[in-house]
Amino acid sequence: MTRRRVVITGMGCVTPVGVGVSNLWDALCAGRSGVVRISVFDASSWPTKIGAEVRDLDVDAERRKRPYMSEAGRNGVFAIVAAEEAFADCGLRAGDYDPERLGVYLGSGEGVPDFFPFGACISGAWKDSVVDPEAFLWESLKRMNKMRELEQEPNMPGGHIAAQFDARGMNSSCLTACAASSQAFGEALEVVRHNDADIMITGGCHSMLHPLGLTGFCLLTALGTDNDHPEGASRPFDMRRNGFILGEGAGMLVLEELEHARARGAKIHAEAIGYGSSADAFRLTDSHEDGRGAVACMTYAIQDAGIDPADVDYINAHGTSTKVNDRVETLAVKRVFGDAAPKIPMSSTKSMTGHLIAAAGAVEMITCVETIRHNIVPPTTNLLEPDPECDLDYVPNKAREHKVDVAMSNSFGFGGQNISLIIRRWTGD
Amino acid sequence: MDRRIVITGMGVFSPVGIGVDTYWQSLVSGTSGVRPITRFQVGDFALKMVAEVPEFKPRDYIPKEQRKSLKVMSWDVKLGVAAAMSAVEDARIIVEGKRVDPTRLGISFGAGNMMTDLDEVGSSFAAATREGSEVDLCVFGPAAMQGFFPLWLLKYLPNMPACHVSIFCGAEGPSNSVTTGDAASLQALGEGCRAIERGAADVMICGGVDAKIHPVCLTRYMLMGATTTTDTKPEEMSRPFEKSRDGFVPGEGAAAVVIEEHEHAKARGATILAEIRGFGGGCDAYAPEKIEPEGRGTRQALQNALRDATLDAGDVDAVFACANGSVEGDRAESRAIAAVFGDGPDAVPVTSTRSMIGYISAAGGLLDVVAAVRAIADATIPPTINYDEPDPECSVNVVGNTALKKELRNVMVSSGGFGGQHAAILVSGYRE
Repeated sequence: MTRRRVVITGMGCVTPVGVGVSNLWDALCAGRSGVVRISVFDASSWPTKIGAEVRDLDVDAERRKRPYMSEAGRNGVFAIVAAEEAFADCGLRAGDYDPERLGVYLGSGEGVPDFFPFGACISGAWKDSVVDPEAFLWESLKRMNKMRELEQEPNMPGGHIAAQFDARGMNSSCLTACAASSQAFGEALEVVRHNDADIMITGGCHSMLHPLGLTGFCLLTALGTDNDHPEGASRPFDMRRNGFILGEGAGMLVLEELEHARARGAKIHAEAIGYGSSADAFRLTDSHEDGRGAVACMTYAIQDAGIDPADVDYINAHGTSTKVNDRVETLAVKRVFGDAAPKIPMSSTKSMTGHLIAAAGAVEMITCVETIRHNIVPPTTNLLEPDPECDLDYVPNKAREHKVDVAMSNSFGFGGQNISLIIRRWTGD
Repeated sequence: MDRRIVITGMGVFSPVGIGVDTYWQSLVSGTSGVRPITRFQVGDFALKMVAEVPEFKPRDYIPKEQRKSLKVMSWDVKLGVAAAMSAVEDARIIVEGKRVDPTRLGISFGAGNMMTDLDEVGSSFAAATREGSEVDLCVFGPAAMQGFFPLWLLKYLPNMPACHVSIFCGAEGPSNSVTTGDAASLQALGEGCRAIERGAADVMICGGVDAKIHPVCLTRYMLMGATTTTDTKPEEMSRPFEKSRDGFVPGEGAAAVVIEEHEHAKARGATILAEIRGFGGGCDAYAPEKIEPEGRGTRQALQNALRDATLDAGDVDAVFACANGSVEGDRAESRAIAAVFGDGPDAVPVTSTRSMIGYISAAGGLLDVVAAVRAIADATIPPTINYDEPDPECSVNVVGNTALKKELRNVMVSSGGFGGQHAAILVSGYRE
């Protein structure tokens, strides 16, 4: 049985460096940072006061345009805006497709907590050093807003997108931390390959730029702390790297079965050819020292794609700017690609976008598609002091012309869930 | 299914019993797990009847050298891990000397948002709030950095059941955490099947957990007006498909199964409990907070599962529905089942275990898969209890109040709802 082939026919995004694919791409090629002093709430008293915020989207105005999601969190608004761009880009109109063959698979982060009412409920119920549950119930019944609570469920963005585009097929979402939207893309690819749908809207959305999210990551000592130099704070593979920069946003792609896309004369951006998923099965808080899981998922993706490692022309690294990730990822790439490793440009666009957590992989997949379309690889910015343990070609600081036919994207989730994806230039056969 | 996939291990933590045998006996005898809440004091709050999992010692299910992990596990994670490790034990896949290839062992787990323990964050909010004003962020930041414990964030991430289990079992294969609300655990199982079908793994640990007996969740249910307010005995409160129903009873629980490629299971001499023949998904594509009246997402999922199994509706001998006592939800599901399988007294028997275990969103589907496996083995469909007067708008053939003896070849399990996501799994008796 020949496997169904799957192509990318639509893309859309909301990112800290730009809203819309062309703005994202221009910013990445120009090396522009999206890292700023956090303004969505007063973060001045946290150890990390910077983040990669979506600034080019009037979130309230977008909510007003869509009364059906007037209480959605930032994550939900990002998701629908990106999905609308992606679906418009793929050129499908209502009536052109069978709704039962259109599905959705998102890497969807938990929604944004309704922080101040939640805090008031807790404070109001705080007695003798514990929260009195009965008092909390009465407080919360008064203060919580039904829809703002429901919108925090991770399956809500996928539900909204399905309603918007009448997508009645398979609808799934996953939350595997930083790997989520890459995993969603891989699983959506498998849904189409397996003939469970002909078209899938896939991607991710997330915003943890809220007081509880920032607290959680600060406590894990995972975040960069260069509060006075936001644009230089995310510096993957640089000797001075000291943590990732928390970002927010959404990336969405439309995956379509090849013959379905051809039959309607769709514009094909690239072909999705490889998906690999693995687990470190090591420790909750550290990646395996030898990058066991990272090696495995890259190897599986290469096998799935039916290519040789040396065929890969560009790697979009997970490259978080943490001490451990960047060293281990480098090691793993060397183990997988051997002698070819130093010749393959591998950049971390998180140096500019920050880390979009569940949404990161989808935005990085869009970036991979753009490298193929433009034959340009975006840089790793802020790479000024090389780390001897990170000795690959990270495309330091300046975008570069480079022929890219095959691109790989890596995403490694906190907790040890790892994903690699491979796409290839579509040449018409 | 492109390859034959069999179930070789099961684990259950339910409000009507821990362990597959206890759970099954309770279901067949029509035992309700609904009781007054014990986990915390609710006083006069209207929602006070729930279906809680009995006390157990999570440490008994965790390898000795890993027990320090308990400190970073929320109650939800403990339940999920315990169910998964029970299924792993039952399937004997990590027995010394007979361990399955770790790189071919994967995990697919259904879970949802997990709520923070309120006491863990309480002092920081209290310190940052002055009477009559909102939280002062300039005080909250430093207070939270002091007051929350360092790994706080990790304790509540929905991917943690899968991550802990992968570490405990050395499972290095594909790993996913599915978060589609009421459909999550069936979807996790279906996607686990797909991973084996495409050759990415030989064995998958598939589970689901949901534990929303938490003050925040109880308030949400009250705000939605989704829970029953009937003033009857607790065990009579959950009334799927019944005319006087007016909402669900919140439950909690976890279930897991080990699934395996057929030849792999035979080669290692595994005990084969059942076969999974089909998986299908569907979506209402409707305002996600509302109920689509025709149940089109359910219908789509049921039809896709039949197509995947290459079976006809007539081949299915029982349907495990997810009807939980919601007035509109039960009607929508009934309409979808009727559209695919027919209705009236001669149609396929339909049952809802939610009448006994309550509404257990992300775990409900897999709890029913475990029940379906036992139903096939014992040729018995457990009853839908409290089925006093049929609702004419729920016209399916409900197995009311007493278990039904019947030979079962193929059983359909349906789960979905809030958010619009639906999934269905077709379980069949195993034949060589």
